[in-house]
Amino acid sequence: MNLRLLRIALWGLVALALVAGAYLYLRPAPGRPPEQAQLTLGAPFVLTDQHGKSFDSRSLAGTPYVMFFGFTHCPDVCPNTLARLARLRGLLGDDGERLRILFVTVDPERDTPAELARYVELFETPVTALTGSPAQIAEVTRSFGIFARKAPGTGDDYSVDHSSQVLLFDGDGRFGGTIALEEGDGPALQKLRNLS
Amino acid sequence: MRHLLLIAAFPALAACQAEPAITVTDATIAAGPRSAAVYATIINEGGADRLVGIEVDGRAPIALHQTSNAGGVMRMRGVDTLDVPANGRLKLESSGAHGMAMGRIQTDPPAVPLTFRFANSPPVSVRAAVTGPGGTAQQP
Repeated sequence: MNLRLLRIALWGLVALALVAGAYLYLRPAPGRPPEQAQLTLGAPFVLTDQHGKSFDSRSLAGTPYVMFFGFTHCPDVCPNTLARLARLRGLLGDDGERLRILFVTVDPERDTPAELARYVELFETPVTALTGSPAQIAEVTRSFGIFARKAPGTGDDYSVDHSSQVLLFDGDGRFGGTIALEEGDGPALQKLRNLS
Repeated sequence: MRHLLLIAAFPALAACQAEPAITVTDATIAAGPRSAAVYATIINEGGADRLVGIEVDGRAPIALHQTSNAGGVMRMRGVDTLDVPANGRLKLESSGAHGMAMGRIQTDPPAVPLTFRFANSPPVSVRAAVTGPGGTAQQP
């Protein structure tokens, strides 16, 4: 009986320690508004754009932007998402002109700058397409929480499984949520408006 | 006697259900520089069938693909066949089942002949409208 009480008391202490630990871990840092801790995503990066020029993400300061990860051999979801972003940008009117669209390849082996240039010019809206070494791309996808993995295939004939969400950022570089593939244009447009 | 009647009725029942009657509408090729997607609606007013392949202009075979987006991750996998349900339809559409051609599809003339092949039904040929990737106006 005493042993049982002792066991309950010990488990109680364990639970208390977990709660206290969670509080210490999750509580906002002193003097810092709590929302800021949740609004950052990704680390600054340097990649290569479709013109072969170095692109530093710090150059985005002051500009709202969206990021989509995909690859040029993708026939379905990637071009449909880019075409949709182009269309939504048009619907935003003047705000749309400020919005930048970043397309980051998850297939750096096939997507050279020239390949990206040929692809994104078909969407009739300015798109900054980015590539890099496989290590650079792996670092950027990891940093932004993007899943990307080559699917089984032979030789150059393969697909890449990847996260399909569009990531949104406001002019201060703060993370402004995502647009999901299955989400309607109405809510997507509202999320884009919230960035400016 | 009752058994005999039942047996006699079977061939008639089978004849009513087995023959698929397939039409293909809204065939579109969304062509990018390196790949193209084929979308269409396959309407079946008869018995169940399976789509086993699509050909462009009698040449390059188009792979059948199934896209899934479970957990927000886009995955595209090749499949051998796609079911065309009895008295139903198979939609080849974005983020679902669709055809995929690797490489650049020759988009001249603008409406490309497509042939859909089935396990049971005779092939159906239609002319597909061609767009750029994602339905954009510009073609590669």
